[in-house]
Amino acid sequence: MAAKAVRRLLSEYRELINNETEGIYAGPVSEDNFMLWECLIAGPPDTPFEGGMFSATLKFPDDYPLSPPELKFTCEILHPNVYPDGTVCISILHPPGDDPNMYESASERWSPIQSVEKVLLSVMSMLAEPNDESGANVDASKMFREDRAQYESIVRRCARKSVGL
Amino acid sequence: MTGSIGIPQLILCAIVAVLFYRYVLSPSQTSGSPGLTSGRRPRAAVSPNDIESVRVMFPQISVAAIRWDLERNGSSVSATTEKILNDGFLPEPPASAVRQTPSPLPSSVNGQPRPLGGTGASQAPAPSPSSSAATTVGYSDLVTRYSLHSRLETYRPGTSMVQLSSSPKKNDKASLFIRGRERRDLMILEARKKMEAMLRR
Repeated sequence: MAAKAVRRLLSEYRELINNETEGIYAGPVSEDNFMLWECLIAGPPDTPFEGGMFSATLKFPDDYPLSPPELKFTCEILHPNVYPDGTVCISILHPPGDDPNMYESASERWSPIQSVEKVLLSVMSMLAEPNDESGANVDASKMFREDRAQYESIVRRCARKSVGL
Repeated sequence: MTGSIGIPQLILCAIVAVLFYRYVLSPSQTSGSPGLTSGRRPRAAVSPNDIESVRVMFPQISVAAIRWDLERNGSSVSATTEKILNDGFLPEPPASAVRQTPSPLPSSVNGQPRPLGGTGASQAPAPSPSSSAATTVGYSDLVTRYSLHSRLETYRPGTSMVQLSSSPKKNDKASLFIRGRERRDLMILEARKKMEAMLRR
């Protein structure tokens, strides 16, 4: 059923392990289920996320890579583009044609030439530069716009907590 | 007159009596789902590895709840994770199910069973929408989640990386997993050390 997806994911996994990309890790949670991955994204330097290591799960649909995976943080995080349940809202995770926010160009969105690595790198730059047009977390967007100091201090606390400090 | 109450009638009466007793007089034993599924009872099949792979992703879910769910779905880790992702929590097992299952995991999570009858809020990782603080409260940090406390003391940045790269690069699935997990753990340890240094500054 999902044999094509599993084949593709195995090759992406091999690529990720053999050619390490600075600041990201991703891999299946267990040997017998390739459709659910855990990943780590390092907080980008020179941002309040710096020093933190943020964990998330990637859930792949059976028709991957035709449809995009779903990315959900499994750690405490405050960000305008992350829903309160941890689900990440960025253009690369939206299939073309399905544009809930009406501002994304088709080239930014999901297509089979994207990959887990590109998704994670996009999330890393999302951490550095929130897009406050997409209000996945309205409270966070508001705080980011109106009270940057508080936003940054909460984010710094999340970063410390992510590594147990 | 003779033969109106024979052996067949007695058997019929006995069956009716048994059914009446079973379904009418003691409904409490049959109505619950544990009674219905006990016919298959794949209890022994749940391996600690399956429980651990779910727990690692969702440290806020109790081991007992994970085991109970795996027991009921025939040890399908993906079905259980799917359920947690959709619902945000797993129902706690009834007291009877907890009693029968000794916990093989030496994890600290075992020692603290979730208070039964507590507020539902403690089970759901999603905070109430009214809170403006960080999202997805209730997760444990990565050092705890992957049990890295013991390695934290011996870890020196750079040292383990050398061992890792000198091992032959095999690409079969099993070696990929070993290397992948090691990379994950090292990334966490390194981030922790960097953060410690940042905080000292």
